[in-house]
Amino acid sequence: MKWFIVVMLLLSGCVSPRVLERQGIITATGFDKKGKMYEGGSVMLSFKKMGSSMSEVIEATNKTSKGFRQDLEAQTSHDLGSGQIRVVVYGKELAEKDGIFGLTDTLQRDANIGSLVYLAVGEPSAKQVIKSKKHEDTPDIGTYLYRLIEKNLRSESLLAATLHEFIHSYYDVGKDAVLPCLSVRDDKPIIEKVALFRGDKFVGTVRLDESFYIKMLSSEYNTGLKNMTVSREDVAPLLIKKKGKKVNIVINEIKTKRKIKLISQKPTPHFRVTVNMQTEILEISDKTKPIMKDNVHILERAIEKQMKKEIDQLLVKLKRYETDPIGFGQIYDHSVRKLQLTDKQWLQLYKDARIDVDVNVSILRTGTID
Amino acid sequence: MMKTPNERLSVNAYLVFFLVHTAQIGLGIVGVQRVIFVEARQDAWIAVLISGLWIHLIVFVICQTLKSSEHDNIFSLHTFVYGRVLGWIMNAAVVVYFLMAYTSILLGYVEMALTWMYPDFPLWGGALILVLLTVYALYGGGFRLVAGVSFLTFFMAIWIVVVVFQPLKYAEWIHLLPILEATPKQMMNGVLKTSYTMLGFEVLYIIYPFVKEKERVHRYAQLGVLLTTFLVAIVTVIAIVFFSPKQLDVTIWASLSMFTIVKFPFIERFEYIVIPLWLLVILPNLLLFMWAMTRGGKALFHIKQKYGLFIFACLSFFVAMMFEKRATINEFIDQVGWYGFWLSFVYPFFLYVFVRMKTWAKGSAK
Repeated sequence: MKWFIVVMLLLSGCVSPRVLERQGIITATGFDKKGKMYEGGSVMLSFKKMGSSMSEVIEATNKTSKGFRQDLEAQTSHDLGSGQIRVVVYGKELAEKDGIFGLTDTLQRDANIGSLVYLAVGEPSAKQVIKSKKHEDTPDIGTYLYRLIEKNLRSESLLAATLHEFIHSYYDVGKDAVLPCLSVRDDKPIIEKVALFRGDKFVGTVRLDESFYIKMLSSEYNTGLKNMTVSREDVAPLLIKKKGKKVNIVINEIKTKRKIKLISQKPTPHFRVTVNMQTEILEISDKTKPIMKDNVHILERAIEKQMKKEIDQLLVKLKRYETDPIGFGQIYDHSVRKLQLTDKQWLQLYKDARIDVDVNVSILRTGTID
Repeated sequence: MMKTPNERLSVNAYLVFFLVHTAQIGLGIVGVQRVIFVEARQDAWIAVLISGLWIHLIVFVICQTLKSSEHDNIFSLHTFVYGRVLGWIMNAAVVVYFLMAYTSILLGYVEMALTWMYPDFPLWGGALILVLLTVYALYGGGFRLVAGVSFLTFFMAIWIVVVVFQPLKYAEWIHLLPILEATPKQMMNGVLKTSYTMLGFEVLYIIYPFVKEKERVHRYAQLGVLLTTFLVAIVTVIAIVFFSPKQLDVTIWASLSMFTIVKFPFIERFEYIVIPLWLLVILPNLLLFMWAMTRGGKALFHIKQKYGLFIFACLSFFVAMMFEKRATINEFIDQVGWYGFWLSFVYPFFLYVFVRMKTWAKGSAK
């Protein structure tokens, strides 16, 4: 027993210690394309013996991301640690031309980095996002970006941002990845859009209100808020004033369930999408008669009609970008036996795929007034 | 021929459940999903169930074999069936199998711990710690300690099952469709690949004499196997829905990678808990296999288990030292699985037939 303890004590010294004050903790990294090189910056957070922490952005340019890391090491007296990376931002140009899979590969391979790291596309460049000075009350820009994305994921205005989800969609045939798109306004990074990918290449963006539908069609929706504009005729029987502009309706506490079925394969794939939605009315821009049991369906049908229209527009847009974030291809692949679908084949089929959307809205409550 | 150990050395029958289960669950379950998935695609979980059913049958056969004659362990059965020389060779084959299995666990675990946690720690150092641990435990303890360890570690590690369901947040159930697309050949290959993970129940051949209530061994062994099959099937299903097919094809330790999703307010990276904890899961493996080797050493060379322990410990350490790269370690683990497949999935049936024939021949000769 005695010698055993001795061995244990001796061996425990074998792993090199890491002193907190000497660590430079990277919380966010950004990559951009500069000619054939990668240009990037990392937010390094370091701790003082006394008092608070400080953050600093260090930059480097190199051919590979590991070489980039070495260049960073040369610029700081701290040992850089990547275990706390929260957000990795890729410049729009880089994501569009080179694709980002090669750069995410390092993140996956490194056991220090968890698969819940957030990825994002920076517009116009990652550098501008990383170097922006405004980050509210958080200690550094990395933490700010992390909280910003986390909040939007929680409120379901974004659908996916983690490394795991990106890699998952990248590898999955018939489903394309989406990432948040960070843009800078008044030197402060904000999320206005969602970046669409084909494979690992950025192909375009959709607004957050459009990405609502992507989320609704690709999975379930559980909270969240949606603002819609319906035409006046559709809800006319409810309104007190017959004339005026379009009517704005805000719905809240949205819960959806979706079902996508492949109805026929030939000549072109034909899908039927059924979305069942339960929601509450939060706001109507116009004065209405009391909404009762016998007239609530007017409102429901109006919302359904508008949603169908917007979804159809979105699907056209997605087809034009040749990207399939909803995963129709995945459903096609898994519904047909003995089929090894490839991305190329799916792209051909997707162009002509017929997608019928059916939305069933039921309004559960109308707030505190009828 | 070996004598049946006395009362003081034997254990209660319910411990067979823990012994069989902990001998089965070990390193394999951490990365089994990929190897089956590569063969049987989305039907991998069915392959696991088939393999589980098969093992239930084998466990039945093993218990029948052990019951059918006065020889109650594999070493004396071999001498009984094949005679002295051939029996010795067969026994040596069994010992070599346990040596390989032991070494593969040693290597596999150290390799995993180094990749995830201590990249600057040498492989030999890790292996040495585990070998010393085995020797230390067995030198003082013997079989009753092995049984105790498997009992305790079972309860110390089983709670991880609760956490396994957390990755379902990112599940895409459509990955399981279409069901039964795999051809019979793919399915067979899938079953074959589960062997490394499911192996371990063959220790029944060796622990049998050490159990007090012989008539209840079978029931508890079956229960142990049932739990193993259940757990392996669950982690396989979860991995299939969690990863996309091509992603699973390249993920070495799928179970561990799934744990990178798990997050608690007090611990951000749950896999750093799992990896050290996994030492508890493989510990019964190490102890049982090493103990089985020393039993074999006793049968082969008539050396005391105490000395056998040191010899086999050194031997497995040196075998382990011959490996450096992950590729060769993987190949080795594959070979162990292959060897174990024939020895534990197929051979028990033949042994049963041989034993029956021999007993019958002896009976009619009289």
